[in-house]
Amino acid sequence: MANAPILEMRGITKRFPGVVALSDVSMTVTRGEIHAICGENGAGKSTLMKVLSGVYPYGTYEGEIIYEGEEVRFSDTKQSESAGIAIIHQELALIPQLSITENLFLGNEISRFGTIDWVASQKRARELLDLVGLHEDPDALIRTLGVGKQQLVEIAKALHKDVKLLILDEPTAALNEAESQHLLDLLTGFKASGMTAILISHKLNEVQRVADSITIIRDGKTVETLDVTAGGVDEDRIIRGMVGRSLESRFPQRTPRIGETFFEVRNWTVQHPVDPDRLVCKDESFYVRRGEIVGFAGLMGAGRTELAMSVFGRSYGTYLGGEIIKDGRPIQITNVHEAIENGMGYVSEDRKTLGLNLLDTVKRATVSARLEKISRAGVVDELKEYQIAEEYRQALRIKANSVDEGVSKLSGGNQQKVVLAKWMFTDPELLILDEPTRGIDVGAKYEIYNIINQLAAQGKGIVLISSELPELLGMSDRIYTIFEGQITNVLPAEQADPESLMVSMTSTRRTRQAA
Amino acid sequence: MSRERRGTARDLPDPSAGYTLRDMVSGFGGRLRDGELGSLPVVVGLVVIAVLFQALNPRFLAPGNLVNLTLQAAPLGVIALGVVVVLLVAQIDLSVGSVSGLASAVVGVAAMRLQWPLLVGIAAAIAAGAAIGAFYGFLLTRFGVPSFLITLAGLLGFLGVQLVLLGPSGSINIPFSNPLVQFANTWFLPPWAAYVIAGVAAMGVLGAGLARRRRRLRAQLPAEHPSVSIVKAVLLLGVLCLAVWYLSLDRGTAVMPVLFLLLVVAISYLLRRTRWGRSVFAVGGNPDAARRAGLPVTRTLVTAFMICSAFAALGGVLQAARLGSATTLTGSADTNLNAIAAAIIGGTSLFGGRGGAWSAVLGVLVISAISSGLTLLNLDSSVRYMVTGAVLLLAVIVDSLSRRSRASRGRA
Repeated sequence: MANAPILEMRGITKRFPGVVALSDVSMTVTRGEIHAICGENGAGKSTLMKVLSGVYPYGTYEGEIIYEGEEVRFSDTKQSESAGIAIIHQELALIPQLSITENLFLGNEISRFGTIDWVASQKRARELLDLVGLHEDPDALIRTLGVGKQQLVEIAKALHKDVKLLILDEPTAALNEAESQHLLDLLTGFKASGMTAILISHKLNEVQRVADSITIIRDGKTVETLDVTAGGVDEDRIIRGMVGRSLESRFPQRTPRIGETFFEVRNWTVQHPVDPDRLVCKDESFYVRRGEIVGFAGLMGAGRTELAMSVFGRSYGTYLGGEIIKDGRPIQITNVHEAIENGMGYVSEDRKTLGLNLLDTVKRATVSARLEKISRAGVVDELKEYQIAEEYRQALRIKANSVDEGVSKLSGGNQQKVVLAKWMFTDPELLILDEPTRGIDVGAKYEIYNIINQLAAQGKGIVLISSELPELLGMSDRIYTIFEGQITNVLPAEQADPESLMVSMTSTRRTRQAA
Repeated sequence: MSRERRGTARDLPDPSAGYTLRDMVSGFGGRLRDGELGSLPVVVGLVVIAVLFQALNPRFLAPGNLVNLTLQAAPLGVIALGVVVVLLVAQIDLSVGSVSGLASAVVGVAAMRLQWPLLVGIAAAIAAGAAIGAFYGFLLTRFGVPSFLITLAGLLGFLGVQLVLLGPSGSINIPFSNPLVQFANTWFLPPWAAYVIAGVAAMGVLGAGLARRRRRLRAQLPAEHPSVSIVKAVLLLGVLCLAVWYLSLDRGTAVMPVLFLLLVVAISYLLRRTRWGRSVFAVGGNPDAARRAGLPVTRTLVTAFMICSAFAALGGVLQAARLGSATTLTGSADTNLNAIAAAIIGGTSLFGGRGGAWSAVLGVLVISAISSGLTLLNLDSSVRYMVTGAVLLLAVIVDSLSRRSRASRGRA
């Protein structure tokens, strides 16, 4: 049977403490096809693949996996590998200091009498590199190769293990156009020789081009499986499946009172901190008005955080060009301290590693970004510190026994409130919020939305970066979309809908004229 | 380790109520259960050490031996105090021994060979230390070389400079008539002065506590009951007077350890009450978050290294003063490792962000007590090394365990 399924996943449910990441997900992959999985950030795509490859062992999820006609129960990735399932993750698992050959056979060395047979290894390495179309010396060190070539080495490594089902998680995210093209051609070639592949990608044009069928996952559930070969599936159709949900009343009411433009960024261009060939911000311009909440939509890796961080005191990448204009005057900001002095605040996306010192107490964290406000001659006024922290604790309803409590003991939502308090204390005119509700439960989210609205009502300009389209649509007045380091569109919120945003988030194509 | 207590039920005082002695005691208990052991393990360790050595040799706790112990501990303590600051910013300085040796040579050369005024010589030695620290800080922040390696290079390099300064004879004697040597060996406070200092310290604690209470009440905030400050002050006064009285049975309270304690109080104030201190803890706790909060990370790191090296230099000067000579052995490997061990044994975390100036006092007391006790027992220095090593190991295990316990309490 040529069209028998190679893989069936039935009723997969995966729970984490407090969250259901996957709920009753099913998918069927036909032998010899390229099967794409699409969904928003956090929809559960990667989790599903981790269940399949045994990263989450049998017993930690519900449901069954039928592979090659029989039920499999992988307890680790070794077992799934030996069954012929290879997964290539977003973060490559190569060792930079070793050569291509050494990496190809790492853990799988070709040996004779217990010692590595370098001659046979070299020969096999050349064969594998030919297969993936990589013309490099097998002795070249991985770190001398670009990301695209490293990706090919990963694939070659999988091929060596006699792979039947190849899973690629966002393989083209870090690649340029030509490299992506090569990789997709390669996939099509493998398909012709009978290999099955699962492709997870945000780039819908690529998906549409190479996939035979597409399973769409949303909020941890299978929405539908589209048969591309039957025709009629285009990017818009995929997007509708990915976002097709109604916006419930999850967002507090607010009547925006928008003032004049006070903050503007023009032609902002930034280089990647280590790879000088990559621009993370390409000639980006945007503005924020007083009392306005400006949303920034973009998929992971699109460069939203990079833009925000580089504007906020050049704390990311290498600044190449562009200017910041505040209240009609160009200003020079070269470090975070100056950014704060100029009335900017930035709530970073990862509160644990970038937002808080987890050894701090609530009160110490609250005042930490603007100690000079409560110090005289360098000495901190501890009474004022206590009063201010207590004020914020009550105003933001931070659930802590007292302001002397360690922040490490608070829940994610309350930690986030402490970070918000810390930046509110700096009294910014422009507050950048980077994924302010990530990993926070629904109740706390609502409270944080309320705080954001209050700040806007005070006349502050808010930049809201979020991966959740409903959040952006529910909170923002105006939404910019970013794709591959470029601002592709800007829409007033009332004219935006998930489909039109998703189109501009996945290509430079525009649905409407820029506002 | 008991894990049955839920992280949400803690005995922290309710801020809406006044803060009384009972809250202080129960708050302390709650912190202990949460793995915030603070200085408790060291204090327990010190008691154990004292009881053990006293049982083995009744001369251990005799006034004469304790006076010697305070004199021995002070120079090492000053060096350890600097190490504490560097550890708090999550860095390390392996070269404090060499820098202290270099400083002792500088002061020897300046005072004896060049006949400079003594204070100028001392100032030159400390300035040399501060300059070395600034250099370390520059290398660390400018080139990102790990401080482990920078200071390892310093350990070797400055040992060499020390040998050059000392010249072929390898030692410079400072005569006993020199005020520096007298300061370190024969300067003792008259008993009345020692009692006055104890009284002033107690009054300071009381006054600060009452002033804090007054301000809080004026701001209509709950404040601690006056009994808290009074009890603290009385306890402090009692302990200090007891110490002064006991030491006065022998030669009395020496000036050098008092200088060390004054430095500890100063650094403690800087760390706990000033913006600089806040950045020290912030940089040690999470440098990325500190940078994103606009804190002067570079300046904090550089000043931390400057303080460490300057204190190492001062410690070296005191050591030379105590021995009456600057030799190639001043600041040798012993000093280096003992100072770092003292800071860690005293309760400053090797991982940054946790600890305080007083851990230098506790740690150096442990190290000096072990050394003094074993000397009294006529045991070889080989035993001393092994015992000190074991105690250090124990201290870092306690630190790691309490870290893990706190991590399990916090909702990670």
